[in-house]
Amino acid sequence: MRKRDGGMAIIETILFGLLLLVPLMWALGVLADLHRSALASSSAAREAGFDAAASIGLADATRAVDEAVTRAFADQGLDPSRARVDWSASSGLVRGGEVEVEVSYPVSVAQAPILGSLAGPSIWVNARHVARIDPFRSLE
Amino acid sequence: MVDERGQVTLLVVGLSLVVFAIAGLTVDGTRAFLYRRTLQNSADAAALAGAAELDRDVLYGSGGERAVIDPASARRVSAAWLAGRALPVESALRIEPEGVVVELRGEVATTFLGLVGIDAVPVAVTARAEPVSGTP
Repeated sequence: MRKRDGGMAIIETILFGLLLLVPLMWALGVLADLHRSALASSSAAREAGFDAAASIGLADATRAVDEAVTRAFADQGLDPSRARVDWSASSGLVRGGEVEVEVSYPVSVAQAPILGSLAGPSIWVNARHVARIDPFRSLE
Repeated sequence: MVDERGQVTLLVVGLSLVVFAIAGLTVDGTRAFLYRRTLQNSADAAALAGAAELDRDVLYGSGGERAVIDPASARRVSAAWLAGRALPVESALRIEPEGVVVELRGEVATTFLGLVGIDAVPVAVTARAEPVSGTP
């Protein structure tokens, strides 16, 4: 008597699909978000550093940093309000000084392809940039 | 008749290996891309820092019209800038009459490409900055 094989392929496909492809899709989703967040963070730090170094005062620099960070994350379709930004200027934006900007952003590990990010642990991506203030810049 | 059980398993495993290989290439490619971006940002900042070192006699003598780089000062500042970043890379500085050129060369370690004998990917960037007189 011959044993019937009907339906075995479906079971095997579902089993291996669940075991291999689902974790793979999840990992690719997280990696894509990590990439996007790292790109946005480095852009934000770089642009914020340049803009703050060209600012005429601390208030102007603070506004420039906020705008640069918001723009960089919005460009990547990310929520700028989740970014953590630390910046400092040596001796208050003195000529020839340095502006250091550090941007961090949390990437949620628990996410689904359609549902997106879910609550849970996060991986923080960081970017840091140091820009020099023009030693010949005019003071207004 | 031949028993065909397990045929789909082979197919799915083979397909998964291909998908994993593509995912691996993506991971290593992404890492190299981000590392290149980091190097480029550092090279740009170092070149800009050096290009801001102007010959004061020429600048003030021309009433601010001519901006010419002070080579010794530019080299010192760019080198100090790179040293401050402590990047594990080879660097080359060229101070030219028109500007400062910074070249950085490094390697980024791979994860998945290591399985096929490629342990690192070389990354090189160049940045050039020149002084411009006037209000930015």
